[in-house]
Amino acid sequence: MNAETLVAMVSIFTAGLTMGLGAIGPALGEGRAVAQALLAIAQQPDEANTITRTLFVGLAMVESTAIYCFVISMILLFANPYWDHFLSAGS
Amino acid sequence: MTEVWRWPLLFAAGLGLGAFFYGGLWWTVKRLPAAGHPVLLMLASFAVRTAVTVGMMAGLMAGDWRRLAAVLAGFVAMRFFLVRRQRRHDAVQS
Repeated sequence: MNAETLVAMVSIFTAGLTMGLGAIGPALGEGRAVAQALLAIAQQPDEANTITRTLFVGLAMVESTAIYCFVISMILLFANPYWDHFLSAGS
Repeated sequence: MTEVWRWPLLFAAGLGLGAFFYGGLWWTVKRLPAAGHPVLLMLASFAVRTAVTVGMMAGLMAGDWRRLAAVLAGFVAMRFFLVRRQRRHDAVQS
């Protein structure tokens, strides 16, 4: 097995792992946040505006984690910056 | 000409994508309490927003990770701006 094959294998595996972990974490966090916020709104409907704003800020943080993971796996799959380096080193 | 404007344009595209993604999130969150199926609304909203954002990012990347980094910088800047705006609104209200 030459260097290029190894780099390709590790890149593909890591991209899949990144996406898997990056989907599970934010999904759990987001589900919990939304459930708690809806519970809070049901208990205090007058505070719905404030709770909604806080929920938005929290979800924006959580969902950007998923986007970061998407970006990393996209770079690994389609624009791997180390690819050229190993290609020139291997030949 | 295009060479000079490439990075600012990519950054601006990231700002636009951020506005779409987090604007859509705000729209969804505001409708959440009144929704019949909050889970469906949240999942559908996330799927559509992520598909559009990641698809556009993949297209704008064009095989160069630095281009994607410029788009992501715009995206994060828009998130920072929107979150700060909501926080300021909160401080004024309470």
